Amino acid sequence: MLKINNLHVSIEGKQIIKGLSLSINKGEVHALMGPNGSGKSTLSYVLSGKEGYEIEEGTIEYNGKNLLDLEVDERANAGLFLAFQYPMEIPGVQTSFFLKTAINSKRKFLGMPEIDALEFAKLIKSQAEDLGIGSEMLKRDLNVNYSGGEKKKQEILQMSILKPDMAILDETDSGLDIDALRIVSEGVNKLRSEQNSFLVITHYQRLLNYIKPDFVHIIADGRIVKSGDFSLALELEEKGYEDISKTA
Amino acid sequence: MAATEQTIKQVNSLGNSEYKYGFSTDLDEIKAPKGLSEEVVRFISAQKNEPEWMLEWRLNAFKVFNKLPKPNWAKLNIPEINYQEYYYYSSPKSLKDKPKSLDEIDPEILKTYEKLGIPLKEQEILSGVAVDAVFDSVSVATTYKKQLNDLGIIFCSISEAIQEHPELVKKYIGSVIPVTDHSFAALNSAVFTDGSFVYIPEGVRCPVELSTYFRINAINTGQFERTLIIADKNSYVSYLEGCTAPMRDENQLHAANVELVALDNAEIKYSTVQNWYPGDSEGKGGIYNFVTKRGACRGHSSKISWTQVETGSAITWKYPSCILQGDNSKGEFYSVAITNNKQQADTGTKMIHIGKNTSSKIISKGISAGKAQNTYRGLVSINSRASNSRNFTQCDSLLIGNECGAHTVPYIESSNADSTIEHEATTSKINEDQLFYCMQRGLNSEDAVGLIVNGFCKEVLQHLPMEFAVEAQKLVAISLEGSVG
Amino acid sequence: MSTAVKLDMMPSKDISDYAEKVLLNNPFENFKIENYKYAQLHKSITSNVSLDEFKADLSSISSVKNIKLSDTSDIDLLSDLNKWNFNNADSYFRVNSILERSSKKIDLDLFREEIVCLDLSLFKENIHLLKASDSPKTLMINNSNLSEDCARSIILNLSENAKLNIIHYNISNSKSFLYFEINQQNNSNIKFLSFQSNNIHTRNEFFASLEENCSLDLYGLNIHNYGVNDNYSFIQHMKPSSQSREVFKSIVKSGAITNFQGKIYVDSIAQKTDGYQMSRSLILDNESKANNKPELEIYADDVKCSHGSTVSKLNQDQVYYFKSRGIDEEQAIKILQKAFLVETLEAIENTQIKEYSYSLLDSRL
Repeated sequence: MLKINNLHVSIEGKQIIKGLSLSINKGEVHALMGPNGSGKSTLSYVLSGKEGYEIEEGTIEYNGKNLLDLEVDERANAGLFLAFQYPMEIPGVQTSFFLKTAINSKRKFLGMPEIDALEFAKLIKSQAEDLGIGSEMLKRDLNVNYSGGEKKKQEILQMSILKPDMAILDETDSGLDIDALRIVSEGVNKLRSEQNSFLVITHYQRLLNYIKPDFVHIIADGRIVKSGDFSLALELEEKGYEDISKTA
Repeated sequence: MAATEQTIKQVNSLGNSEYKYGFSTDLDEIKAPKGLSEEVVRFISAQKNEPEWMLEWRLNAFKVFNKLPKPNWAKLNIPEINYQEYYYYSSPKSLKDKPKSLDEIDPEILKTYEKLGIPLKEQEILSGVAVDAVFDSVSVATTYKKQLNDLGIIFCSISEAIQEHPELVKKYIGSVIPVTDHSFAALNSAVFTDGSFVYIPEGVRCPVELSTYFRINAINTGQFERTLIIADKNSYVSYLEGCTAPMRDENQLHAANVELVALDNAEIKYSTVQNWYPGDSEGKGGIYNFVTKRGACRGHSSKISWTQVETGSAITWKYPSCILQGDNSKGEFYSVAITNNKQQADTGTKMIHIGKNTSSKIISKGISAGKAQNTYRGLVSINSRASNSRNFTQCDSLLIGNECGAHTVPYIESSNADSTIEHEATTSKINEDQLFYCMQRGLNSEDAVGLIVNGFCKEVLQHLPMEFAVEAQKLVAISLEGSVG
Repeated sequence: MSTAVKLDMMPSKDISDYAEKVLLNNPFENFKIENYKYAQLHKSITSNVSLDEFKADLSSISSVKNIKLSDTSDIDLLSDLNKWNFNNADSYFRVNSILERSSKKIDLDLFREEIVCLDLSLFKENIHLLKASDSPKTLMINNSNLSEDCARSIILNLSENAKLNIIHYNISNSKSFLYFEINQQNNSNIKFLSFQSNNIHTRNEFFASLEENCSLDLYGLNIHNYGVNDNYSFIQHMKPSSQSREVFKSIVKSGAITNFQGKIYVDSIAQKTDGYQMSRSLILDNESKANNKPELEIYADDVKCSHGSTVSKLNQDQVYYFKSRGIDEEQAIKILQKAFLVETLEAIENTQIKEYSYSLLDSRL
């Protein structure tokens, strides 16, 4: 589904990703772990197409297509979803209106008619309830004055209604208390299937207790230094990044 | 391509796409001789069978107009206007004998309205809006007359009001905007052709939103509407004005005067969506829009609220204002002004606090794209007698692209120690992280810009009546899109 | 000498044409000139007001270099009269002062003292100040006891990386009309405070032009003047990444008028500009007036510019709160007025001068 090969990325002349390769197949959950500044978030922005990142070398293939040829919205409509570490506040735009606009953008892309009001209401209600998002929150401006936990739940809500093929969760666990972490993880697990894949970016092993990955990769200084299964995450928790990077 | 860059390109290409409402209708017309003279003023008055006092009033205004220089305070590049190049009166011939019902109306005209999205009959039934449609200069149809009649509400063309209610017109016309105010006001007073007249009697709440659609159709016919709205004691009215104009190559001059009078405890809400032809990408052929709108809160506890969404015209020159004479009176101004390509807008408001305990609120959102210049110009003045008065002003400007300009020129004058004025203004560009976020959720860059700008304007748009708000939101997005419709 | 004769004596026709154009809009005669809108220069207002005994005594500040005539050299500003780099904002004061007065140049780097004092009563000339080094220096401008009919110019040129702290004591003048021009080259840094009190008719113009990566902090403290006290600023950002911050605070009473007109201008290439402007006035009685006109004129899109302006009275709830704690009303009002103004005094870097300015303010409350 996603094939990253020998990726080199720089920002304003400074190299951040230095030869990263990673393959994710349909139905797999990969965890990417690494210390601050190792290039985790950069990777998520490069995958989703944010401007300001210079791809110096390497390729990214997504469902057989060159991902780098696609605009941000084209990638999104092709099923790539990024749950932001810091979701944007958009004043004046009601959350439910935003959700509807996003759904209709995808439907338009797929040549489907706009979602009917009733269907939309039903869809949102069921998904929002599971995440503990009340109808009052859906009336508020998108992410404006949301708590950290509410913002992350909002990201997961968007993910569950847009049903991506490839979801990237960028430090979704940061700033969450244990209850919110559980709710958010359940939301992710519900979406897991043979048809879609996840790239879970995190600093801590904590999240992986809830979202069990098939593979764990450790990133340091812009490249993957070690890969393994879930036990690697446990090992990391025990030894810390420095040790693991050394043994790698 | 970077998202913002792409947006800028798309926004810039807007002018080359077709103006959605750009079409014209063939009609036989009666025209005044081209140009401006005492004879033309007399011709207009005679065409309308006006009484002597009205003619005298016009002739006096014409004399004043000849003496006053063109106002020059705006940050606008206004080409020299040759007043002799315009026609000041034209009327569709088929309306010489006024129609008794819609069935008698020239089907050509009805078709024009349909293209504009104003099917009169449907609107009558569906929206509960009474429509006084101005086609060129003559009011062609007024609906809902009976229901309003029963309440004692007068809603008719100003020409009709001059015939039928001369005492009201005489008393109030020019009482808010003196003929001598500035040259555009004087010009309008001399040659106004039609417009709306509304009188809400004491204690009456007007049950429907009153609405007028203006349309400029005849080549080189300057439109000089005159609107007068009087809300008597304890009454309420909401008035909607919306405009579109057909595509033309020559610039079209427009100088409307709108006067509002609110007596004790009365409230007038006046909403405008203005979408006139802005000209092509070089600004050629757009409307010159020099509008004087002013409301007098004459009675105690009266309220006047202006809401405007200005997206059209090559040049917009407009300052809907409130004179807060009555104690405890209130003035509000909510504005969205969008300029693109080579459009220029200089718009804002004046809040003049004279009575005690008066309050005013100004929310202005300016969006500038392409090579456009967008200026907020406002005055808040608190008189020494206006104890315990308050003003709050928020002016925000958004820039899309680096060839446009946004300017803020507020005048803040206080002579009263018990009053408070607060003014805040910001200027920034459209937030790229917000754009990225929206596009990551699948919105294309145009939709993302439309969404974010609509969010930026929400505080203003939410003051529009429902049916207008929906239209306005679309308009906001459309006016910044690469393609219309 | 008449203006016409003077224009004839100009070094070149371009200059005389320029001067003639600017002098056409003479605010001392014509009250309708937008940039002088509230200044009332056409009126004579000094006759029926007498000044208080309030004075600035800068002699209490030690280790000061007082600039003497011998520290200066001649400079010809006239031949560059038409080399004006401010967009759409001609200054009548500038042209008027350069025509009416000769000019002197002072290089601030020549003095080894950290504090330099320029006493305007010792000079009749326009003053052109230069600062090229980044060594800390405080310039005190003593602008007191003047009664003048024509404007004078004070021009400051800061070279790359230069730094300067300026305190302008604008105190006890019956008529004073100053034009300040600040030219900042890349990476230069200015903090400027204008302390204004006990004046009858004054206008101070602050024109500043910023190149790349500069910072300008411009503060105005304006308390208990008579007549009309008028401040006009025009900050122009001509290159990217500069920051300007303006704060003008006024307290007005006894029928006085305080005015602030200020514009932030951002050129289309001056991306990443950070411009802030705040003008706040307290009106203590209904005979007095405050007029503010804060303007933004912006041609670059990647900027952060804002302004705010408030006009109000002292917060009566705060006065009440003080009284409920046993502090009498007079004392409460003094404390609140001081609290309103002190933010501006923080612009002063030198402790000695800062302390002196605090005590000067205290004695005026």
